[in-house]
Amino acid sequence: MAVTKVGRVVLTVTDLDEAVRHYTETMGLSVTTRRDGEAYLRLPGDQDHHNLVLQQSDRASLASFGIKMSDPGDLEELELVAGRAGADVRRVSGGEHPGLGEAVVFRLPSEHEVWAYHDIEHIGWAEGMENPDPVPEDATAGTVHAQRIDHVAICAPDVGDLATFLTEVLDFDSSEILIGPDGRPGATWMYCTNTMHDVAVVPGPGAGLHHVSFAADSRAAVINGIDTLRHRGVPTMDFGLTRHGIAGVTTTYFHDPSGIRNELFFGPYPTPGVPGQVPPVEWEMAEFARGAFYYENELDMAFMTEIT
Amino acid sequence: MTATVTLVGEDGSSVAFPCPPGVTVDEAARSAGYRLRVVCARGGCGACRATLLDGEIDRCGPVSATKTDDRATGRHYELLCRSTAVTDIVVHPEAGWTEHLVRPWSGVLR
Repeated sequence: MAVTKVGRVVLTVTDLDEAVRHYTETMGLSVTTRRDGEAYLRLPGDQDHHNLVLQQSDRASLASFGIKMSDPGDLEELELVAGRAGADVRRVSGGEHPGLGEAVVFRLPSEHEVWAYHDIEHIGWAEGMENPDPVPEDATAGTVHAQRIDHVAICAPDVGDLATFLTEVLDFDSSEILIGPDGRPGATWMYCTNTMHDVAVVPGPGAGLHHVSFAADSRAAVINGIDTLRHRGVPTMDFGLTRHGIAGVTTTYFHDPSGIRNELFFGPYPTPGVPGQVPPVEWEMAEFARGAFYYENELDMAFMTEIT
Repeated sequence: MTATVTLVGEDGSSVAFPCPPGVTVDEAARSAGYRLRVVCARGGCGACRATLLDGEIDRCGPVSATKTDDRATGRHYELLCRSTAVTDIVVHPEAGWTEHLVRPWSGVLR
């Protein structure tokens, strides 16, 4: 059983039209299916029918996120192991949702709903799958050119508990760990693919979302992206461009029109993609401000406490 | 008509400033040299939640029900990043406010 990527992030938003406008005109996604009350969007750097689903609601939240499994048989195995670990598990039939095959749905100890699937409609590159032009038609002109969903950062009342579940049930591993005051994980950056995190876990209320992160394709693209955000009146953090000490990524944070935090970043380092190969980097509480924001060497607690 | 916004703190201290029509309480506070705790500025994160003690506000955009209604305590909040003042208002921002040490250009112009 292996998770090949974290994808299919489902957000509830307080104004669907504004949200679609943000994720298409500003971020560079495109709508593949639009129906009453929801929109399905794909990113240019991914071949699936959709990577992001937006649903109209009276609240802004992470409704669920998806894990794409490497084998159809993984769903049955996951149903067993997640059930054994105490999670409520249910099945969703193929075809119930646009583009999506059968899925196994369960809740993490942190109350987040996870949809595990193998089959999702393949739509391929925008330039086609046969002899594609490496320079795409500029469908994302004027956007920040987000390439892929890189990771989700979720909140857990007990970080260690969730990290154990992700490790033991889903075969994730930690690339970096903040050691909390009690010696247990205070935050952790966990991977299931060849990058330093597919899921970040930070302390906070159950089912909480800290941010959805989008990959840019260069450090320069992050800088240009910030210009685009300012141009479109999207408020970014006061200092705009910064760098995380953790992994040294070049990054910026901002919010979508419903107040859901987005990240646009570049530079995560590669990892083995399979657990148990490399021990994690450890951060002490006293050094964490530098780990979080390397240029500022300070962390406004609003960044940690104000989440959706 | 320009309304007056009065912020009341935990300790009973207060400050007041003008809030022109169509301007959010957050923007008016900034122009007056005060900073409310605002993070998303889109009615989603709840950093600017406040109790309306007197007067009437209008919302200039949608807000997340998770943040306006606290299920645990049953309390209702307004989000100042999405609030404009219809009348003079008195509000208690949960996170208080700070005096902005920089004298903003927008305040000089006012």
